[in-house]
Amino acid sequence: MDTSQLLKGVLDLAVLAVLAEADGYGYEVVRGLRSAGLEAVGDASVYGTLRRLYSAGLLTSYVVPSEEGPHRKYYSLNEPGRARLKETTVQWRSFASTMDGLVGVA
Amino acid sequence: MTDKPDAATPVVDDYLHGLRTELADLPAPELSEIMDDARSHLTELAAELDPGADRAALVARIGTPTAYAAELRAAAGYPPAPSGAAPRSPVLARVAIGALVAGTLLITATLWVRSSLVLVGFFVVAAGLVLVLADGPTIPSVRALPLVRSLVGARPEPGTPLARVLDFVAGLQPAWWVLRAVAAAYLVGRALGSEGGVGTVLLAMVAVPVSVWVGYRSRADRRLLWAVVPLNAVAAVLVLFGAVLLLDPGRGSQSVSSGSSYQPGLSQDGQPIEDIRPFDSYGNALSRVYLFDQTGRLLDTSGSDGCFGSGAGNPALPYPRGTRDYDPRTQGCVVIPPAPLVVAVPTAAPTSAAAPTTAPR
Repeated sequence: MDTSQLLKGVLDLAVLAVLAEADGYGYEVVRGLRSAGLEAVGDASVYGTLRRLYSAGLLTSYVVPSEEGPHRKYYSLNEPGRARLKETTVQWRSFASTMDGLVGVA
Repeated sequence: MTDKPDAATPVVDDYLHGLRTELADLPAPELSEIMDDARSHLTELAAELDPGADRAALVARIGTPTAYAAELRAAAGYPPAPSGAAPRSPVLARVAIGALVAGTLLITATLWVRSSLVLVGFFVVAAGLVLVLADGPTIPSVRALPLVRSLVGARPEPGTPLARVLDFVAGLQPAWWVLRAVAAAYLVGRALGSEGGVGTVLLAMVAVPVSVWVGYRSRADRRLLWAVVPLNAVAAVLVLFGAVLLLDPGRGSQSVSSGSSYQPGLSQDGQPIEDIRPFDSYGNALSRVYLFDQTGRLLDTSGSDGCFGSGAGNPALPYPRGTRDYDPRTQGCVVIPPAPLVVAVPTAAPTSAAAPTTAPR
């Protein structure tokens, strides 16, 4: 099944979770999601999500000069971001267990 | 990744450029943040792909700029691309800019020949302007042209001495707005056939406020900038010519600087008379003739031959003198001897009105 439809609803949570581990610039977040197994996530979707979370005040950003290319803009979870992550994690657990119950644990 | 050169590859630049065009309707600060992210993203991708990877490889990885922009919009919650914002053909943008440049050159080149080509130049500029204005306030397809991009990209980094000089020059802008309005007033006055300084002053009273207003507006609406650039070029040439004529001690003091209002030398019905070819009433050409006006002033054609900056002609020579012309090769004036001329001598008998004024009363 195409997981990209499923991903849409949880991309915010996934991005917040990656950033909760460590600050990262956009492509680091993409790689973090990929290495966690979310292969289907589109690069542009991650960048768009970062911009939206930033605009919503859940992230802060700072620029780190890079010697190899353009300066990198790092995104970092702030307090509202942490609170949102906690809250969404609770929702996700409940939702996931509901779905598990519905489809039956194979 | 460490062997990645500092500068983005042309492929990356090209892709970023396409992306910027796709997202041109977003607010500028947000667009700038997005482009920062995308630049670093694409640079990383280009480093991951083979060196020398082409656009196709990049597109295979993240989709076309259009697809990337659409995905970004969806994820970021931006409004979808405005339906009318289908990217216009770059040919139109090229034609628009070409018309602006060609028209401007035509106007400046023909200003001093008093040719009707000036009007053609204005029409060409107007056509180019219509095409630019049709592009929308942020003129995406014009900005998309590689030449325009390289011009914009050539601006120096803030803080460098060159940037400080540019900032200083930019501070003088309002003075320039006034100056160009005066130049435009002079030009329009001339085109309308007014040789008097009064016309220029009256027109300038209208033109100066308009010019200042346009100056302020063009900072916000970049389309106006394109409208203003060709006019600025014309005005700059006019001001430059005016300055040169002012500084020219020979001719400037007696002609253009004294109000830019009267034509030196002789003219008839607005056409300059460059030489006088005297004939007697039998149709025989006369030579070594001097002609005087009603007050005994020597008629002198030496101001009307268009040989600016070459020093005054020799008013002591009798007619016919020959004509003088500007030689672009030697950058001086060459004398063209009077060519053989066949004239139709009027057959009517001289009336008393044509009697010489020196006749005894």
